[in-house]
Amino acid sequence: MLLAANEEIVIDRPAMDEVIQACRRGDRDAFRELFEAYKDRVYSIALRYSGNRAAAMDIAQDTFLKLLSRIGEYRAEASFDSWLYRLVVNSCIDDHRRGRRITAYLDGLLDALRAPAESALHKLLRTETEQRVQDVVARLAPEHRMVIVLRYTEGLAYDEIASIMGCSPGTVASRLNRAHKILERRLAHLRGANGGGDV
Amino acid sequence: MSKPTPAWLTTELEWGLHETSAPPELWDRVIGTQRVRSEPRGHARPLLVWAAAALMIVAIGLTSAYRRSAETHPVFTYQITGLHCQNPAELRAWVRADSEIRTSTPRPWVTGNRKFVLASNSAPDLQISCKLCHLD
Repeated sequence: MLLAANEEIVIDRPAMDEVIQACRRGDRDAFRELFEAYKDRVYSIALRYSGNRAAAMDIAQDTFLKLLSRIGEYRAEASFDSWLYRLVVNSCIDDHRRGRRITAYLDGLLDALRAPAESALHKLLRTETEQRVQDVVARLAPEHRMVIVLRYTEGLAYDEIASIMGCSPGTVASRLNRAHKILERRLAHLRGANGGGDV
Repeated sequence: MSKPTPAWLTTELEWGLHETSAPPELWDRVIGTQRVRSEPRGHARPLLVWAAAALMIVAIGLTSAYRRSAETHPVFTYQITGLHCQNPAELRAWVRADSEIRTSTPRPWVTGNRKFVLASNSAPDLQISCKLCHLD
């Protein structure tokens, strides 16, 4: 069932199969439906992983182009979400391998400088906190960064993350544990800043 | 056994990494790339590169040829005989007697406080040499 174009588009399973079949036949409207349904998720993962908007746009663009070219490889018995997540994860890794580390830092700096001056103080502080978290996450090793992003941006369970990344749930747990330790240390200055505290 | 994740950290990470909206221009970028990829790949770009390279080679060749021509053109060359004489009359006499130059002989001339003399084994070259200053 499709909702209005300016609302979140949710496609139920039977309709999804039809849309995918239509997409395989080269139906552009079907591709647009898939795009609208998944664009925010794809872009968010790309943004939170790469840490900068330019790279996120490139990754998202690459992901949807891959979706279009590889839609024939999707098997209906698997979850389309997981299949698409796998595409975006691979696009993120490819982008990382292309060596964006230096430019990501500069882009992040430029993004911070471009922050609108007319924002309210609270919004500005919140934006700064988000940016600080984003920057710290962007400095994690790729395998740690991806599990963190899939966990906290998409709220995926351990077994879902494992399926996407092609590893065991135990490996996911281990990587998350390690990432949490690093982030706890690097974000310690934010402790209590937004009303949070220890368990 | 691993330590549970502190609540404050979970809050910060959920806050800092929340899902966000894709920019509206993302669709245009996807479709724009798709449109470019669907166009038949011609050889226009390689041809342009070759044409530019060829033009550059021709330009370099022409420039080198011009310079070589300038260096060897009779107007800009003269041979120094190795003879020196401060007396113009003696010079003229020597030229008449010992050289093959029978037409206009080199004459010294003074410009400002400096004296110039042109000498050459080739009369045409010598005449042309005068054109260094006298184009008429």
